[in-house]
Amino acid sequence: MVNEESTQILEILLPQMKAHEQRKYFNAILTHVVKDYLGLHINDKDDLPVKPSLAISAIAAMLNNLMKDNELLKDSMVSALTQANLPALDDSIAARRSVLAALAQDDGECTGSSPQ
Amino acid sequence: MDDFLTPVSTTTVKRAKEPEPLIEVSTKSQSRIAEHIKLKSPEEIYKALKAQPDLESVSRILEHLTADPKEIDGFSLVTPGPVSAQIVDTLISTTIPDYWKAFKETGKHGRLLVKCLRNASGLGAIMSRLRLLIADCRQKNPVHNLRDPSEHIEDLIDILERIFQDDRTSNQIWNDIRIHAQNPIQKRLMWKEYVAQVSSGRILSLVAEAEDVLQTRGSSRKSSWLAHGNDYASWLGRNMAILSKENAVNDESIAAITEIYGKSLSLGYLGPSPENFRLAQS
Repeated sequence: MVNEESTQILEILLPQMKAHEQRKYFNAILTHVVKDYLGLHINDKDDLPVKPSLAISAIAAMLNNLMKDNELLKDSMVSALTQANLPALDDSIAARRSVLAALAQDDGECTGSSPQ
Repeated sequence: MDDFLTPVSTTTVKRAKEPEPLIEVSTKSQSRIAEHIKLKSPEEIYKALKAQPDLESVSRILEHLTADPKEIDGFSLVTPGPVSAQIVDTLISTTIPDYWKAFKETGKHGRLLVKCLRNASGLGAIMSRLRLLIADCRQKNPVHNLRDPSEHIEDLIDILERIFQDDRTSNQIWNDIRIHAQNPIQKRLMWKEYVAQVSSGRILSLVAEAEDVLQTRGSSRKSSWLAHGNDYASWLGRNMAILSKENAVNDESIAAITEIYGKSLSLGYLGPSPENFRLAQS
């Protein structure tokens, strides 16, 4: 789905930008991939275990690559999940799953800093 | 009977040997550059351009301007300077109105002319000229212009479209700056100027204003993509993608790319980013 080389380029470029620019680009990328690849995801309301999805995993991997050494972006994603300030995450459970999966790679983010 | 009519006086009319034509076609005297003038220096090129050259001479001048800078004392239109500014100004205010319509059809010379203007100085000069022409068009009493300013505006928009038609434009301009800039400070300033022109929306708003003026004057042409925000933002996104893909190898290029990324956000369209990413995938 995603060319690895392109995420490597973004991994180099994103940290060079100012804080608000990094957040804006990251949010725009997230919004776009959610719209393109998770647009047809059906949200099941039944209480069944959620099925694994290749698209969600791929997006989680990509987001993790982009924010793995970037505390700023991790904090921004945590507050987007908890404060509902990003429409792309509010409209799609699949998107929230991807972001959570990406953040879950770093134990500190999931347990230590996120408000309840 | 012959006595009735007596000759009083006799006059003879001298006729010119050839009848003079009733209407004369007046042609501007166009000079041909003498073959022995080698156009070795930028000053010679500027003088030749100023002297109302004919089509063939203009073609020769354009070939010199786009050739290897070593042949003209290391001069290049990419590097800002007084002579290059004068040459660019003459190209835009005289050569384009005189010859662009002819060059468009032939192809090769049109490409050379666009190549001469594909840099920050060229873009700046085109935008200044467009502003003047738009102001002229808006005046109720036209200033003493021999030609309709709307034709000039159409020509300049056409040239801008050709300068920006490629997704590799920004990449090419960055490479030109890296090659021709004389020191790192000049390199940074030239790139900064290009980024300011392209990412700040100046071109977008100016071309949109020009199209509006042309429509008011009754032109029925299709408006340029440069005046449409989404198309322009997509073009910018693709340019940034190719620029990053080919140049994210050293600190200097990374700093330049980061600058254009940052400035582009001020355009107000977040569409470029997805286009950027999508292209980077391919």
